[in-house]
Amino acid sequence: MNKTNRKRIDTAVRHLFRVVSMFSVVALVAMLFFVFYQGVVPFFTPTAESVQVVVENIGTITVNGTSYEDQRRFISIDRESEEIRIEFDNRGNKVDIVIAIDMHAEEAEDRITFPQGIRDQVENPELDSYTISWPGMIVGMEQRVHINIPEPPYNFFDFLLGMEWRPVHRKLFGIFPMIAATILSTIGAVLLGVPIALFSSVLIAEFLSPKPALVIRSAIDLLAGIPSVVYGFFGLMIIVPFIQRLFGSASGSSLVAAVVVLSIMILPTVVAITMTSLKAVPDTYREASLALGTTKMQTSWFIVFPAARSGIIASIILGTARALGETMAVILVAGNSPQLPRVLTDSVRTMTATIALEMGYASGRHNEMLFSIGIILFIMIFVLNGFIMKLQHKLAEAE
Amino acid sequence: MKKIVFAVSVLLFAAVMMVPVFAGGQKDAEAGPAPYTIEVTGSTSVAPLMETLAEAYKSVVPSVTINVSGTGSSDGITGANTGVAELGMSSRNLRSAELGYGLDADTIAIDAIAVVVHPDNPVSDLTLDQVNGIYTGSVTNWSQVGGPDNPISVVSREPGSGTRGAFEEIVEFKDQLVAGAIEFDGTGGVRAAVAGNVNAVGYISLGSMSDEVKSVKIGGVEASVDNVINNTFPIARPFLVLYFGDKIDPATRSFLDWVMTADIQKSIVAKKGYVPVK
Repeated sequence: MNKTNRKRIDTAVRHLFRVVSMFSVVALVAMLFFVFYQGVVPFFTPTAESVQVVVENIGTITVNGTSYEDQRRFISIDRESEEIRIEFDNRGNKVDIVIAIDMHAEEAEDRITFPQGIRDQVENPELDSYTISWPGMIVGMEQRVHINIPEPPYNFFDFLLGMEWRPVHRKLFGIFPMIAATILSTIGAVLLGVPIALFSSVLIAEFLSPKPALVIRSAIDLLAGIPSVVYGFFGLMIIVPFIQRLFGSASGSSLVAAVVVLSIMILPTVVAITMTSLKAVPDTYREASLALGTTKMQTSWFIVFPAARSGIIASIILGTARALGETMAVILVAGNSPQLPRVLTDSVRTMTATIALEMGYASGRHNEMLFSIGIILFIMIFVLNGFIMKLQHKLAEAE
Repeated sequence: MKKIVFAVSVLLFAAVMMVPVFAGGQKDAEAGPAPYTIEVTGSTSVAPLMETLAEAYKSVVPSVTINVSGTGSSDGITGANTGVAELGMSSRNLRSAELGYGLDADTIAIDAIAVVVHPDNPVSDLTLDQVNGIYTGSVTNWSQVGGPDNPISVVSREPGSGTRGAFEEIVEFKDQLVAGAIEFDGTGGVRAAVAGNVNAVGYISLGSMSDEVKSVKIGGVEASVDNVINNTFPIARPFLVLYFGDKIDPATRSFLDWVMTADIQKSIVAKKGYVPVK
């Protein structure tokens, strides 16, 4: 029993490990593929293959010569056809109209032309979608014909640099205000949170005696474990009303509220890693420095701190990534208005907030655009990661 | 040898994963005649009503379980179309791109949308034009509508929400929401934002009203079930249940018939603060 058995167990465990560790790779690849696949669609394909017609409360209808009986699904119009001819019976009167379509027109209004007689019956509830109504036998049973024209592929630069996010009726998908909000709130959180975190970690690692250091350290560790929605709730109940009173603005939900909450949230990440790297600096450095007659403050600031800098930079970058990706807390305090902020008290919406807010409510191209936002976020994280790697490489060379 | 060990470990792993499946199957077999689960998904506004109905139906027909998940109107319509759920819930009418799915739509209740302000706000009556002005940005201070000299904080739902869609349509500001308006997902978020800010104005489903916020009269008409029935309160929208009429199970059909009975409409729908359709 023993040797062979042990060998078998070893082999089994090794295989288990192999399968389990493959899992993360598979998950990453699957996720990236999924996001990219959905996210690039709106920039390359129109929303539908051809013009689609839907009828309501019309029994028999003839569209371009083909007759439909109680049709409830889409009627697709031939792509080559430049007109839609609709014939049906409305309360005993025969309706026979010809609608001209030009799918290659630049402007949305030019893509469809209705005949003179029915123009006042036409509604345009959303871009590229038209409804023609006729009175029915009773109120509420109006006969309607809906015409949906495929939207052409969305211009990528209109997406990236567009200032308006009006996804439902006007179908404008400009995310520039959100990119700005994401970057501004992240920079703000780093500027406010990182100095506090660095000072407190130097204090804990270098100056405090073990007992008070332990108290502060456990507080910070606990802070790291609090769910982000709790931070958001705290911000909503305490920080937002405080900011409203401080600035006398209409509402306290603002960029500055997001910055404050995010800066608290990145504290534990930055402090924990900075402290570990400060502790890792060998005591011989400190002893040598003190022996030369420096004060304790000079030692920690000019000797220990530089020696630990690669760990400190890593901690700042991790904090930045946390601020960049934070969603729930920001949704609760930032106000979520997709506008370019002009002052600190303006309400803003970050990219992650947009995805979380609208995912359940979006359909069609709107839904795909949320994935496109995901791609932009992924690229931002990718650039940030590349930046760290380069920086760490440079530091390693300098040493 | 190696391969056998590998195969065995995979099998064991699979067996462990399968345990809940079999356990579940056994439980089902023990229950009463023809157990059936109806999956319902969609609008967060309809979900509270649907949950109450599901609970009440459980005591009438114990063999039928109804799973309700509130994810959003668009999600409900898509879910019903793709077959993810048997019934979809929507708090707005179908858009023309969704009409062609060929879904049947039953109106199970009508819901008023109340415009709400903080209880300390003295404004208690607005016209539809003033509401439009507030939401499009031409009215920015409470003093313009007879209140104190405070800036207005406009609170809205997120784009795509059924409540927002219906509200924008009735108040006529489709995709014209003023820049800087605060947006929250969910009725609860809007209510909390209005309850916590004396300058705020928002809109929520009448069935979700509470004492934390004050409902404003529209053109002198109070938001109430009676005023929707007699057609004087202008902001109301239907609660729809969507399904493929030729595909649903008889058990689901009898649940829908039960919901539409005058008795249930009176005892549950009306009691929850919605307008019954019968």
